[in-house]
Amino acid sequence: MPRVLICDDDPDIAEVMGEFFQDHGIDCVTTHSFDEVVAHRTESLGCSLAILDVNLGFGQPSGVDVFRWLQREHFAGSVVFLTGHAVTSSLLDGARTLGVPILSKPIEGETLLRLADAEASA
Amino acid sequence: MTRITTATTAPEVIEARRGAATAAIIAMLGQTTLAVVDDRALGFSALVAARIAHVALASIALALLWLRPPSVRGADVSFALAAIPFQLVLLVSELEFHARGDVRDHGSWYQLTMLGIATLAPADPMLPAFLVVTLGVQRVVLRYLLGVVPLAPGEPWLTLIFAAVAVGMLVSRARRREFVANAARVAAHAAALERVARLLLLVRDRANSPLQTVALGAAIMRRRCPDQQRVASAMDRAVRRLRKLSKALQRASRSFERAPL
Repeated sequence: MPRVLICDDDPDIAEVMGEFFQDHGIDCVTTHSFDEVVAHRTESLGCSLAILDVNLGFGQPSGVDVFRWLQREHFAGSVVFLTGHAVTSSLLDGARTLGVPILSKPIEGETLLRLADAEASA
Repeated sequence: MTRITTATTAPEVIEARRGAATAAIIAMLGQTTLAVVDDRALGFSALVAARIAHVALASIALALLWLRPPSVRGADVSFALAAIPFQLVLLVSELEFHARGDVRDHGSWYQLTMLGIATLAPADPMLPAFLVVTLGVQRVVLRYLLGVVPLAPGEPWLTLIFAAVAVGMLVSRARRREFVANAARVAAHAAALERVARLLLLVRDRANSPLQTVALGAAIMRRRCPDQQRVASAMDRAVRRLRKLSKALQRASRSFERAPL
């Protein structure tokens, strides 16, 4: 069964996305910050897909920092960045250099399910 | 009285006031000096009186500049007060020296006055240009109608050439001022467009997260409440419309960024 790590500083998005996945039988680890991802290390690294908001709040470690931590911890799943920014920001520019897919909010539920299913079948 | 400082005054106003103030100071210092010299050489005369009157008018011009709120119009008025009397003083001077049989050429004074007017005129070129032209005409009239014969070779035509050059300078300065003002307007317009573009992008960025929540919330509602399909469909349509609006905002902000100046 696929398991998804969600990291978004907007609690509404994180909660609703978690509920959406659970409604479709997909287990989730819902976090709102880099620290929470690290605090739930075992659960986070056990996921097959990580959906990371690029911007996790002003002055806070970003989704890019979470991605790098996951890499250092030999995360076996795949990673997708989520962003609300339309065109450019320094964080987004940094994320673009990592070769990780970047999806712009709002994304549809079907897209999320396809991502999770792709990981499950991989 | 509280003076309005120039800290918030537009550059064109500062430049106009600077020109008018310089003209007034030159008139005050120059005519004071010449009044003393003429008084010692000729005794008190109409020419000395005219010079003193000019000093008084130039002082008033300077006082107006100092006391009135800064404006281009005010600078034009002060400049006119300081510059117009030059014509009368030159006329009195030519006639007085002519009447005394003291033949001396005033051509260089005319030419200096014309170039000074062309260099220092604040903004409106019409009055300064008229003044320059009438100075030239005065020189010709004095020569051919009143018989005041200039000594310098080529006069009074040389003075007319100076008049033409001075008018050309006035026109050129007026065009330059217009160009600078247009450039400032364009820059302000571009800055306003950039602010709008940033605002549109900000609105779009801020709208995306709640839009995401609503989109997934509608999907959850559709699954959990099969009897609320119509409501869920309405929410889906609303999300689609908001998504289109979001894209339109992005396109609009990009078009502002590319808008020709």
